[in-house]
Amino acid sequence: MMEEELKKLWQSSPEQEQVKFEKSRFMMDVQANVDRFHKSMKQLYLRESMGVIIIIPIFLIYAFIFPQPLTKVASGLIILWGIYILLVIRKTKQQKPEQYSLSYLEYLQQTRAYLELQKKLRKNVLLWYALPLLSFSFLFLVGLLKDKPDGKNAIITSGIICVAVGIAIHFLNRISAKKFVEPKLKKVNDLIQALEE
Amino acid sequence: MDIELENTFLTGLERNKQKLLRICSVYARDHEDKKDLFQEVLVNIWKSMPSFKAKSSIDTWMYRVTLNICLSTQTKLTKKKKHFINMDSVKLSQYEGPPLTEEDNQRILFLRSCIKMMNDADKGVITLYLEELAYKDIATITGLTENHVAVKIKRIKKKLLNCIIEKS
Repeated sequence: MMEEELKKLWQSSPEQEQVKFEKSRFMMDVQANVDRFHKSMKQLYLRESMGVIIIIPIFLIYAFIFPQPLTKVASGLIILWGIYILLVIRKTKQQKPEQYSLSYLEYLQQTRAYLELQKKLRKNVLLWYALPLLSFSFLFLVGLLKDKPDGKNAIITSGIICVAVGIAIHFLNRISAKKFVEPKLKKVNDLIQALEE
Repeated sequence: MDIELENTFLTGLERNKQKLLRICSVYARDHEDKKDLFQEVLVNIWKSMPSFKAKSSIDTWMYRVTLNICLSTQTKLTKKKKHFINMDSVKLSQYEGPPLTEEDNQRILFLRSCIKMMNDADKGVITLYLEELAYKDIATITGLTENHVAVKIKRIKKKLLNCIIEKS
């Protein structure tokens, strides 16, 4: 089969459909979908940040309500942690490749960088997410419970719960990195290799 | 809406709609998937229009966006938006050109299935080649050098022809 024949064949497929636009409605349709996209992105960002957004004012109030110095310090640290998490979510969102006008190779490289960041965040979740949150929460509870009559037992129980939650967060994120991020990353790496070879 | 931008978009789309649909078809699993992918491409081309700087032609730029959208749905970086994109103003109707011979129909089937068997990178390059884009444009779209594109096309074409011969 000759090259020209291949091209002709490709372009004259009888199974191929003809695209028709209803001109009066087309632009409105496209714009409506773009608007819906922007709205859903805002909602997604809000949903992802909601937990942290709620935590910040609650612990701000706690910092004023509870007289124990340790609880006040812990509340302050949880607020700082919340702000840090909001920044991490924002930074990660900014790195998501949405510039479709890049070249195919650049887009793949940007996708790889984004997926590598996702993998790193999931694998190190204990360090940047779970450990600070759980330690500060534990400190908060110690401040609240240490002067109570049965405080010692309650502190030990809270400590065990914090450790268990930390372990669960760590392993769930490891599984998520392995199951969802790594296969995508492998596919993108294979594509880059296929394109460059 | 920027009228100039809208005109550039509509003119480019009118000229390239069939080509964009054919590119989508090699990345889609079935007919429904193709329609969804094509609609997603249209919406994203319009969404990206403000970043079009006329450094390259609008045609080349549209192919670039199309390939990247097809790729991002393949790697599932963009979640499927069946519920999200719904454009009643876009219709796909059956081809009404002169009928092809049985032999040609068969060859088209072979050609399509052989392209579908390739990896996503090769699919993109060979589709652009079959759409008769110049090597220079394919290089701009893919981010490779012209020489690299020429070598790649030669290799993919050989693979494609072997596959078609095997099938027939």
